[in-house]
Amino acid sequence: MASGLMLAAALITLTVSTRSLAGVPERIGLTVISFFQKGFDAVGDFFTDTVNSIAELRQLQDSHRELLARVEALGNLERGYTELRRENERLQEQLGFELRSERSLMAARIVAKDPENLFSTFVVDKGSLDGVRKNQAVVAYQDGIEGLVGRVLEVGRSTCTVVPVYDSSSFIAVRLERSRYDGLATGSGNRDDPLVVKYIKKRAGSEIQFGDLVVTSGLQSIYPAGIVVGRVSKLRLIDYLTSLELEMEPILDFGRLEYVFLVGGQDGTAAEETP
Amino acid sequence: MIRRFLVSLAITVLLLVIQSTWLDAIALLSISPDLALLFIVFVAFKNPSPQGQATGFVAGLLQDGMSSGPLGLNAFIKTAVAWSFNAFSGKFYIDRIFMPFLFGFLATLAKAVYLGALALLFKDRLPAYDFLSYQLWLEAAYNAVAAPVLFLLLLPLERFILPRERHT
Repeated sequence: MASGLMLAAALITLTVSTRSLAGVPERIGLTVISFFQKGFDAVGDFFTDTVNSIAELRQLQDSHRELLARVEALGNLERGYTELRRENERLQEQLGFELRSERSLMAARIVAKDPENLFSTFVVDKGSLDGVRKNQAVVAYQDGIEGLVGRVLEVGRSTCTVVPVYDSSSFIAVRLERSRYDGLATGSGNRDDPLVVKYIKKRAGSEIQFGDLVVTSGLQSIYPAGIVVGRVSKLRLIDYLTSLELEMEPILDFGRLEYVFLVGGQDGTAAEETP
Repeated sequence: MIRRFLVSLAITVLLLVIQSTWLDAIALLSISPDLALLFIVFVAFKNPSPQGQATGFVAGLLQDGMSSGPLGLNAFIKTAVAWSFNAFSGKFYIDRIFMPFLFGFLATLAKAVYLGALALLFKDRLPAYDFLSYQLWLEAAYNAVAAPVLFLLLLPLERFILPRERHT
């Protein structure tokens, strides 16, 4: 015991005299504490990082959601833009036609069709308030060609009903553009069926070719002369008849019609009402 | 009674408007289903009172105003078709698929028959279906397919258009 005490005292003396162990306790404390500090710091960092990560994740989620919404909005915008561009092109085409045309035209949009399948009339968005009158001719512009659509049947205040050329109640005084023979065209009631042109002189048979244009003749008719109605698709030579019958495909694709033009008179007013 | 009639009328007019605007997008060879007629058949069969005929008459008159046909044509057709189906009201059970399919088909044929009779009576001053043409059979088929869907969609509305004891 005494030797132990003495050894201890000697060591203390030696240490003091040589100052060799100065700072050891601090170093030990530092090492140990720093170990814990590091540990705590690491744990703290872990929690901070985790919390930050969660917050960041939430922010990322939010921004992701925002970006998705933005992408969707941009997609819609792009679709809308494409649609607007196409509509603009179509309207420019129609406007160009309206400006180029020698006739006084009023543009209208098709808004509805007859709810009954037996009838082929449709409704456009112009009426008596716009100056529309009964029996005005209606034309349309498709693929660079002005074609006859039909005539105004009934007029409301802001809409009117148009009966198309393929309706069975339509009768149009027509002329073969190349051979200049006159006839009377009538519809079959279905837009997919051809129109029939009757009362063409039999001698015209040799002069008529498939694809010949048929235009309105303007003779005693509500339709102005020179509007294209269709093209000859078939010739019927019936022995007991004194005249020829032709089948004619309408020049317009009625399934694609969106806009039409109501034709006014020569002086810009609407066509006269015909009983 | 009046409330149910007005609701039926409002639904018929709504269906007529849909028929004349949106249904063109699903038309087959320019033929689209006659939803208003199917609805009138639905009301006429489900309700033994003449509610279907009354709806058919007023809605038909309104349709005549929208259509290029002569005034009274659709009023007559819809009333007559409603009367035909009303005669069978309560006589047999109507399921979800087959009977509405049959009703759609038969309603179109009934419409064609009545139109044909009118065309005979008015000496061809009225249009009529050609029984040999595809239009009539296509419309009948289209109505037959549309009827089960429409009848199914009308189920939640039954309490507004049918008397209490007639609800399914």
